[in-house]
Amino acid sequence: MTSDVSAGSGAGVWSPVRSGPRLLMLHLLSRRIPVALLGFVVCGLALHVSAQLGWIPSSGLVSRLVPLTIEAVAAVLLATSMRSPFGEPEDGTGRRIVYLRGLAIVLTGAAAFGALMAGATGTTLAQGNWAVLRDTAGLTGIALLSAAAFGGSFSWIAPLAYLIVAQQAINAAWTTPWLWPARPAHDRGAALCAALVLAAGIVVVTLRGTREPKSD
Amino acid sequence: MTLTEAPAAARSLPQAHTGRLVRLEARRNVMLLLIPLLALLFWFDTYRTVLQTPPFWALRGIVMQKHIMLDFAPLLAGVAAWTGSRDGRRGTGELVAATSRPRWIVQTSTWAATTAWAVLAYLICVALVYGATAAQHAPGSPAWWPVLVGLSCLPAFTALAFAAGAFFPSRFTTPLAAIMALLLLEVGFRGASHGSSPYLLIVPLNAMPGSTPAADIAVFQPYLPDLAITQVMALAGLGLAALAALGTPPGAGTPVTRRTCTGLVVLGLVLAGTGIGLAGTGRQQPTGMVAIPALHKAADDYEKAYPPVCTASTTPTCVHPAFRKYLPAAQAAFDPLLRELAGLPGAPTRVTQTASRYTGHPPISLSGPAVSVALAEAIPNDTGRSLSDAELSRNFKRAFDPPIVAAVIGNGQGRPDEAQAAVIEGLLIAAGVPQGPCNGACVISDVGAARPGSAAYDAGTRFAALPAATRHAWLMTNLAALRAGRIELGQLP
Repeated sequence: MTSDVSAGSGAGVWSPVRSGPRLLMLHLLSRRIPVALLGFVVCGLALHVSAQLGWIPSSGLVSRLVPLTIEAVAAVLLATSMRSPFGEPEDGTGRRIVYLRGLAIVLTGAAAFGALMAGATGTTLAQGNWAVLRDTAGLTGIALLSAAAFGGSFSWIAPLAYLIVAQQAINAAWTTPWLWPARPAHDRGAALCAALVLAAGIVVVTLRGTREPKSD
Repeated sequence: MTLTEAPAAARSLPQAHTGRLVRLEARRNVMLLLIPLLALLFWFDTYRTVLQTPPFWALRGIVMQKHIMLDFAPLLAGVAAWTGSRDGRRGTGELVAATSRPRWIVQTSTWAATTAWAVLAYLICVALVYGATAAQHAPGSPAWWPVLVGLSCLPAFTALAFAAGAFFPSRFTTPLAAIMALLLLEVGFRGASHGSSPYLLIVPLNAMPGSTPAADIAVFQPYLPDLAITQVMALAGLGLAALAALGTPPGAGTPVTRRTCTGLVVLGLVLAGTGIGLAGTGRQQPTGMVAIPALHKAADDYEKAYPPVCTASTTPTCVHPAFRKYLPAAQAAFDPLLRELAGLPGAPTRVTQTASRYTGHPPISLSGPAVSVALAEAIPNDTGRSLSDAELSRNFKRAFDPPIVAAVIGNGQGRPDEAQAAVIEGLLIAAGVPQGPCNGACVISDVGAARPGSAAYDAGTRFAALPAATRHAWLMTNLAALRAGRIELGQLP
């Protein structure tokens, strides 16, 4: 009897076109992305409803803090969802995991930004939609970097600390662009800093993934 | 020797097991890793902010209560939720259910270890703030109620978050617990500050409605503990309910334990509901503190007796002994004005400090030869540095000199007319009240003095340029007519 493996139909050959979407879908499901998407929708709704009901005043510290906290929730949901349920062994599965991580961040991030921008549309937030976009981007970057440093479960630590520092910055009208929530919406330096932090977060988590403590 | 006669093996008490469990949990608790971050946040937010305020115990206690809770509670909520979700995350729930200790006890031990570290860190931070305040020779005695609220808040937040983590061990529970704690505290504090609902006073950031009180809060009157008592009650109730809820699921303990825990949940919720309900009846007193009718003691409604500290001039300025260091600045602010007004009918000859009012009262009240000023209202709380006597004096002049002059010159019925406005402006210029815009935190009293560019302002400037004796003589002759509104602008010298 001769083996017919070599004469087979090529079932063992991996095709990115055929398997890619399925692999991406499985990757997203393993990261509980559907729950995160639901969270983004809730964040968008919370932003819209609190602005419409007047819970967010037109000026003052609260006018910035409430949207910032809602944006932080979305950012942290995104970063937490990047946590691998398999831990370190997943890194040994090949190079494709890097692309999967990158795609997951981009797609999930787009959904988060979309939900928050939709929530901000039609409202009179103190600094408008640009500030929502900038602040969400920066906070997402911070959350991703926090996830890379402390683990997906602790991605909230750095954004939380940043929010407390930002509150002081808004109160005292600090001008450093690294504390972008205290800067006007169209401040180029603040936007650049937020974008840089986001880019750093995306690159680090794409390449290295989130840090997962062995005990978790 | 038969088997039954053999000595029983030494058995340790269940309490000893639980104590050892807490020690084990404490040694490997994640809180230890977060203490540097907590220390950093505390230094950046709480310590710097509190030390920027004048050294008065109640003021610093109230400011500390707000900032330290904001730094600690969300972070601890996140940590507690993560710790609480441990068994669920690892899928070891069934495994630990079969261990010798009831699951409820094990979970409570984990919570206790986390909370113990948090409370220890909190107490160290409080000691640093209060130690620094004592080193600055703050008058009076420390305000302990804000500390007690914090001591109730941390276990309550960790218990609630721990229970959330235990019941919903999702990867999203931890971040949501942390950020929601922050949102809850912020919204509750700001809502109470804006008077949205009296029930929001229960949020432990609030020692009183409003952001920062005046420096003399609880200096002239005792610190009212009413709101703090309701907060402690509500927080203890919520914490108790959350912890007891851990003992209610099947397998968490024996049937008796579960029934007891259910009872404790109800008790906790009743306690929390009572606290929240009582806070809703709270009303801010003129002294700034909140009184709750069901808890309020009439004995607390008194002014503390004190021997005032006065300057030795002919127009003395007297302050509360706690404000002794502000006396030179106050004297520099009031002396020139009182000299201008000396001898005029109804003019004050003495300035005394009174408590700040939070019910829209004017900052001064003139009665007989003495004028009472709420001096602390013009002492900035958040300048980030100590003001010099000259700066403080300018602040006092801006805040109090205009209403004093207006009370003497005006008719006491609304805005002054043009001639009155000109004379008020002239006297303020003569007394050296700063005319430029206020740079920094200061209170400006608008009493209708003439505005630059107006004819009345020009007349006021001319009046101020007169020799002091001429000004005084004219006022002595014409004050009655001026008050009655019978002097036209053109009639001013």
